Amino acid sequence: MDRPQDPRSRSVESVGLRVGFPTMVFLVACVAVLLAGAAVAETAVAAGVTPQKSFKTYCVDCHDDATATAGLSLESLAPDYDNPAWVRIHDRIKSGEMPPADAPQPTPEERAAAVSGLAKKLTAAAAARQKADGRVVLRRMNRREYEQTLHDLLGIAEPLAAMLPEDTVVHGFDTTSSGLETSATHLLRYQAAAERALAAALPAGPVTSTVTRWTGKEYLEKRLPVHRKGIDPFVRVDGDSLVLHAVLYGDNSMQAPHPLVPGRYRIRASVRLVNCDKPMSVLIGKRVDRFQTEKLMHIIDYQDVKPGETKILEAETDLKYSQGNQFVYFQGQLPWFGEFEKSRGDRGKQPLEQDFAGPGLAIDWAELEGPLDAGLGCRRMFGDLPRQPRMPEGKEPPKDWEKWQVGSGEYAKWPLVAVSTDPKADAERLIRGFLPLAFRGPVAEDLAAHYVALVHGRIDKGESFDEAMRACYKAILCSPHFLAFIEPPGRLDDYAIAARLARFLWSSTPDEQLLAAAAKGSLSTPEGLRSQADRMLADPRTTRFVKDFTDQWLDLRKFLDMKPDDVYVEYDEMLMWSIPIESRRFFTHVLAEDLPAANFFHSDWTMLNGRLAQHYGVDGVDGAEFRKVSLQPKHHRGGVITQASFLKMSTNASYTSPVKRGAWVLERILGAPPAAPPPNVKAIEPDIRGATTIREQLTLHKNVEVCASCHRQIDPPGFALENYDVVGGWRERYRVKQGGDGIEQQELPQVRGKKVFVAKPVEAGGETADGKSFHDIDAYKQIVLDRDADQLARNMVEKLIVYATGAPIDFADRATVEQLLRDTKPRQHGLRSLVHAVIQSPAFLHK
Amino acid sequence: MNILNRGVLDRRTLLRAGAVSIALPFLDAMVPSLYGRDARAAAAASGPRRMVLIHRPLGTYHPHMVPTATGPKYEATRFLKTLEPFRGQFTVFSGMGHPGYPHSHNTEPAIFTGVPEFNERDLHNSVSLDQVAAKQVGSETRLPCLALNGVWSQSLSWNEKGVPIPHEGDPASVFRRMFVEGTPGEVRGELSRLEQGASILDDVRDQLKSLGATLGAADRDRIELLTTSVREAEAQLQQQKAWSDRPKPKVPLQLADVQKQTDNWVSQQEKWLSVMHLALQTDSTRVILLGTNEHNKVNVPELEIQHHDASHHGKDPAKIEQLSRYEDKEFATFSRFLAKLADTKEENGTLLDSTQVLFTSNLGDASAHSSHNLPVLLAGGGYRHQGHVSYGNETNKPLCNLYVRMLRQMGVETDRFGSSDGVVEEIG
Repeated sequence: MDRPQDPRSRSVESVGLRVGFPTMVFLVACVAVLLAGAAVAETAVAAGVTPQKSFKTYCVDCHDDATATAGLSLESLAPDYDNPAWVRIHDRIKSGEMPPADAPQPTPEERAAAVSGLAKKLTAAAAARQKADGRVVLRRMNRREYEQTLHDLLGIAEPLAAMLPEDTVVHGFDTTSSGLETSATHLLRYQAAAERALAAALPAGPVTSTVTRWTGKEYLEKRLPVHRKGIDPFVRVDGDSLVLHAVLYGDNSMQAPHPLVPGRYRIRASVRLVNCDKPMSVLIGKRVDRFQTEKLMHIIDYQDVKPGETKILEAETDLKYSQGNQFVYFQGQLPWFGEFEKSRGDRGKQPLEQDFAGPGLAIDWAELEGPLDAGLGCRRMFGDLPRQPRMPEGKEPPKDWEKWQVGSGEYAKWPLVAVSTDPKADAERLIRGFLPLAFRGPVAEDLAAHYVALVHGRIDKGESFDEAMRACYKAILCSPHFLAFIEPPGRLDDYAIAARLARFLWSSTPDEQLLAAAAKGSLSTPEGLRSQADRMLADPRTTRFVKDFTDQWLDLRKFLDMKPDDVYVEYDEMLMWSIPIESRRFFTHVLAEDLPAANFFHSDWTMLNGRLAQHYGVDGVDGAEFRKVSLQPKHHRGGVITQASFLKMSTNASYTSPVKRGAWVLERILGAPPAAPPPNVKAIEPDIRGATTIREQLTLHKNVEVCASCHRQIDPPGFALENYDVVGGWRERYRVKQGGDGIEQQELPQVRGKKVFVAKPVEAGGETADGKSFHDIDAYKQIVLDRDADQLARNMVEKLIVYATGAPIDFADRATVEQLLRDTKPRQHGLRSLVHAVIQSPAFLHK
Repeated sequence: MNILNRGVLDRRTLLRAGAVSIALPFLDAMVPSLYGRDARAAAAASGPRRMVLIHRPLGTYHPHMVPTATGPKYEATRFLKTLEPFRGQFTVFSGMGHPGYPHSHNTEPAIFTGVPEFNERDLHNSVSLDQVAAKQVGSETRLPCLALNGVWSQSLSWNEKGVPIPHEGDPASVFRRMFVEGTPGEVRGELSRLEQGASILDDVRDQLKSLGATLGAADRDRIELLTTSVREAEAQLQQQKAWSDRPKPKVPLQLADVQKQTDNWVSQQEKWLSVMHLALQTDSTRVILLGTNEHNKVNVPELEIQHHDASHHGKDPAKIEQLSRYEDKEFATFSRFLAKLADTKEENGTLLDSTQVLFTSNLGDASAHSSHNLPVLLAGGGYRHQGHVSYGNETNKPLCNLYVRMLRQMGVETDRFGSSDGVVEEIG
């Protein structure tokens, strides 16, 4: 049982910093702590339960200076309750893991006394820390929030996050303050990013939003003769409409009018089916770059059209390249153009006959509106001041400049700049107006005066008004008052609460309404806070919370990083697009309807479209659009853990690993993260030739105690999910690359005509750490739900608090979590109730 | 090529002479703390020291790389056959890794840091090898260091605070910074931007100072750290300013060549390596880190399945052959890079002699996601190379021991780096 002499594990300090306990051995060590330590002994003695010597009996055998099992000696562990090692000790004794089963056990009373005594000390220490410093150390924006804040503040859609260093994820989220260091690189990149944001908000041309519409016929007429050769054999004109009869590359398909400047745009199009008796899913796509290397990013949405209806498609998207390099296009579910060409034989390359009667998609017109929010930044920074072309010294702008076309070369030569007849006064007024928006509240007089002086100084040096103002805005956007959240210890004031709310629910900065509520002091009352939170949750900006939270909780942001092995022939683009959407829609629905958090573990419904329903073997769902679908036991689905996103993210590309999946369930769903494996264990070598199964290889672990202690926890959920393959499909046998001994060829049940090789039968099932056996996922779920359903809500509460506040759950926060669970129990721990409860909790309202 | 090379070399020598007589006293005064305190003494003694780190994400098929015999007289394996022209100028190490790293792709960001406590979910990374080297030698060149990688890749370069340093994803933009002169207007614009940048940093420092007075103790500590970052940023701006009006070296490659779009994986790697060679040859930087991240489509004949798929071969012989073809190409590209360095003559030898090139991966056997027995090949750099040094495949000797040795070669006096427990002594 002796731990190898690894110098890194010898100090209690480093042990305490680990998130989980690395090995069984280590666990034993901690447990042992029960007591030799003066502190605990003291507590127990004080409680009058047990003499110090009996604690010595329980713990110090292994945890004395001489043995120091797992690097822990209770003889030298100081009674410093800020040392996280003490929290581990408390937890292991409380859970009964320590002392180990084969060692002498304290009586229940002895154990309870030790635990409560220790808990008091730990709570007091944590509370003192929070009082002095707050839970959250001074935190800066992460780069996600930075981009969103500038987008909302200035009404732009310019990508900015990628200009900044990646943020370190700590405790599972990129909002955690301790991961958000600020390096020299940050400080320099903030300057470059601010410059880019200002350039986007104050473009060379006018900042107005326009609506442009092309009819199908107009679109075709705009194409050059050279392009028409690649289009005409597949489309025809019917009145003003264009009818597509084949799937063409985006460059040739029906396009929406092109954006003239980068920004966020709304797309609308009127479409109908022609000669179709079944509904069709229409792709609204955008060209990303010539090579379409960013898989999937070209899909804006799929929308379903029924026979006989005229449907208005609607979507919004960011278009970052103007001048025809990026545009929106439409495709129907029609034959691929190559096949279509073949089907017409010799005439395949000739323009399509006008009376062609095959199935098609008619597009009456397509419309592009935007940039949305155009001019917001310009108004906020320059008010109503006029903008004029910047001419060389002594020259007047041409009289007809206002007739220049948006996006034209004239503006590039003579960009528009703001002009003022009273520059210093305007500067003062505008800067003082902008500062509270940028700094999320009232700004100290000396700070405001400093920025005004900055502009005045530049004007005095002969800079133009526009130049001087831009320089000042850039400086404002690089200020720590903008980039960091300044919160003195104690209860937060209204403006700090507003900033937290906006960060939590919108990943952004407060809007004017929220700042107004803060100014009135209404965020300091529970009712006022609740009504703002309700308003914000009802706002479409809350989709950012859903996306950003699930992106991290379920790792959806890495969804496209791993492409499954080629044997997963069913993994097509439609499936790839659909999988993460299920989880986001699911979360959105649980949030909107205040459904119990336990739904994430098990539910009798989910959100599906036709492609995913086919993947899951659920009948009666067609089309690309998502809807709520009831599930039956035969589907073996329900909750996040049986969603294809979770199953795919918790696996490797060519084989599933029960260890990885089990660890995922523990960490993300059950809130009981397992320890890291001990250093220098050998990796498992997968064998896709079908000779051995993962279970056979993992049996090895069972026989080694150092592994077994953790794998008793990890393996059960992993093996419960063993019936799901790499892309989340249900399987009875393992799929392999090619034929061989004992390997058969089978047709995929969900995809007709596709055959795959299968080897040994899947061995799902197992036994939980407390000895309950299960044969599949459904039985496993029942065991967990019967044992402690509240734990599912507790996990969600803890994750929400970490995400919303930027600090981990401290010992003193545990009481908060429990209180919150009690308060929301009548609502069965509905997700929306949990979000409200977190917002009203002391953890959220205090620094 | 020779004539061109000589032209470049003359130019470079000239620039270096200029740097010694004009730039250094200036930099000495202006850059007190960031890059290169003891650098000059070391450089004067032994000439410039350079470091190139190349990371490949998917391991290497071990039997085709590592020879059975140890020492210089090994029988070349499939991949090492490609490097035969350089026998004696490189060493393959086997049995090395970062102790405590999990078996996972996620160790990639920590391949050059060797952080002692690797936590897969919450990575608190430490400083990377290139940054320590850049601190030593980075003040003497236009760019202290270069971190290059695919646009969408993770950073491999980390500073002392454990913050990733963003990499350059576009060879053309790197090329422009080093070799393309701006118009007088652009140079003026850049200068005024640098001046404005400095005054913004002044602002930030003042505001931090007054904030410090109102906040709690933990926040004040953080403000302190931030203030250090401000100082470092100032030093970087000063270095940029010092170089902003100096002429850029002329090189036998045009911006247009570098800008040419390619979706071919081999030519993309070649492009990076050409730019890197020029950067070293012109002494524009002495520390370069390159990540060659390509998991997916590569558009190269003979490579039928994705690299990632091939690397997770699960012992399937067909996949192993595909993987080996990928690696054949990687080794061929690498060999051409070494040839360029070896063909570039310097005063006391070749550019390869002054440049240590490390070629490694965060995975040993990608099929098992194993982080043990990583592929490690160190070339050039003036070492007494040993062909093959083996610590035994089950050993997992700290790779950081080699990193310590590599830092010493750069003139950094150190006994420790990351998880090192000693120093590699086999290569002199």
